[in-house]
Amino acid sequence: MEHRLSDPPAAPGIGAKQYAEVWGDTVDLKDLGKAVVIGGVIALACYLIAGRILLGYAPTAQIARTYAMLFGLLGCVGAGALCARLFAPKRDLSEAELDDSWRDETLAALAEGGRFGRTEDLPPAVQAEMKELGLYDTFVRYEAVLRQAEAKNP
Amino acid sequence: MTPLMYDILVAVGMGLLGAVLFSAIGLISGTDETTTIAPVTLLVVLLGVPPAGVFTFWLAAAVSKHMTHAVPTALLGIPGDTLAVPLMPQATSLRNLGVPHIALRKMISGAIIAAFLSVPLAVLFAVLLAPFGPAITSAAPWIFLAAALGVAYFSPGRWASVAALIPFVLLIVGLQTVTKGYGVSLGVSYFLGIAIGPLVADLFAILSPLDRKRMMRNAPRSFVLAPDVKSWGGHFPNPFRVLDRSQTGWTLVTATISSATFVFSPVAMTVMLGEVVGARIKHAYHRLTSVLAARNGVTEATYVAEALIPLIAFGLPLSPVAAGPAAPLFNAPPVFTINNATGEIHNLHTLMSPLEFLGYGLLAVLLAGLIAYPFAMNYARSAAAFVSRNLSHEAIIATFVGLVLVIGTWEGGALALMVIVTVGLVGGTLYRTLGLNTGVQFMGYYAAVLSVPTIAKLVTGG
Repeated sequence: MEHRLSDPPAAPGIGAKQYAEVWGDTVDLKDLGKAVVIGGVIALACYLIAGRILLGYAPTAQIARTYAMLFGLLGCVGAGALCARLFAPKRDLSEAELDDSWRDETLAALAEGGRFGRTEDLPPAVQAEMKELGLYDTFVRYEAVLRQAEAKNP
Repeated sequence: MTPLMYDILVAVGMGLLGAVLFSAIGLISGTDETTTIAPVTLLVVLLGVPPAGVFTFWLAAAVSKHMTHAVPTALLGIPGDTLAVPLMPQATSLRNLGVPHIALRKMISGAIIAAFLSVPLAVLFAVLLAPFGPAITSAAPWIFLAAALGVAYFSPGRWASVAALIPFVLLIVGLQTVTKGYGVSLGVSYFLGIAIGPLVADLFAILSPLDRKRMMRNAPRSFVLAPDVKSWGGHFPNPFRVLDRSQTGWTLVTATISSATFVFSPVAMTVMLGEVVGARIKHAYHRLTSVLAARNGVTEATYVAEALIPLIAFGLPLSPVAAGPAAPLFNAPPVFTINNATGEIHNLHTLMSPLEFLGYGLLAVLLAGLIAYPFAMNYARSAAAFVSRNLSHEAIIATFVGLVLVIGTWEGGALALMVIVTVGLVGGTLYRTLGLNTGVQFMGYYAAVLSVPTIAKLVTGG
């Protein structure tokens, strides 16, 4: 890249990604700029070029224009595929194992409204489902804890 | 080949296309139904696909997307689209309990049962309402005005949205007058501008040094992908075995209620009926799963009914879904038109009979059920991981920028592009700052096209 005198002195973080949240997800501003140009140019070029060529073949100008739009849409998809290859997603995906503290927090949150219920009162089908998921014992144990707490502070 | 056979073949083909395409799009979190389904359906209409094909495509697409958007909702903890927002608390609780796959399965099993139920119910309600059709059609300018005000009040912006309708409608009337001066009359461009508004507004904001600060982030967004467990043999799980008996019952009851209430927003119905179910179930775990099944069934049923009832009974887009994602089924000039001067309608309402709507509607749900349902049940986890690892948000934005340029240039050249950007910037900014959502803006558009000429005539006495 060309270096200009007006550029700030090199510092850690230069050339680093500039993350921003646009339309519901994170992007890098430089990549976003390139993607917008690529998407616009490819799609519009496909539409205009297809329109020129089809005008010679289609029975009416109206039909030529409509099919040119289909090519334009294919251009959009193509531009999207190209950008997907060029720019990596700015997402941090981990496949962490379940954190037990979340489980306890969730149980506490569920009990907050005072309506936790009793697992033994559930229909057998639901109890079986909970056993299969390994949640049966978790809930029964937590219900006992709740009952004890209730006995202490009625 | 008889014409009927030909129609059915086209419908099956288009339905499969819609189901496959939108099963994939649904996996991309945050893709709004209106921004994705409306433009693609518009394209299908404009390419001259027969009515049965258009309708089957739309419904199969909507039902499929609704199923696969449960994947990011349950496994990544981000709402698949606006309709999934009311399901987040329950989905997150089950995710934290370590059983996100249960959240997913309860959701989509509720959805498929509700979809099958809502199609015949919607047709039935539409047939019951049809005798009032002529009266409603002739009063359309006033109904749209009332609908716009009502939808605005129930939007997140409340009174601000109601008040903001005036400048917004005036903007559309003004733009129409300007383009008419150049002999250009636009329709699709307004829809696209409204649908894509949040993206346009965000792109402008990021260009401004002042507003950019709000959007800057220090690090990429992080997601935790939850583990998945398959708990049945074979390929096609039975939704009636995924839900227990009381959950199936609640799903059927709430889906029936929400099919009848087609004028309300799907999100509002989902929240309300979910509360009703939740209040009646004592056990915490059972409550989570039952509310999820019922809520997702309600969004599905409301969605189907909101599109089908106005389409079959009136031919006018008299509900938030009909005015938004289903808009091209009502109005896609020059193929489908609603003439604002004479009130004459030429769209699926006039081209298909209630019996055809029922048949092709069930076909669409069946196709979506055969493709999206087993796909989401079996491959949810790997699909979610693939999309978040390989499809950058930049690529999605590039696709939509291309779409705006192509459709805009197609409809009215540079003038149409300027209209899309204007409507998008104003609409998107009003959405973000005031809570004037896209549904209200679509109603505002109809108020500008249908109500304003009538009011003007009344005021000037002409």
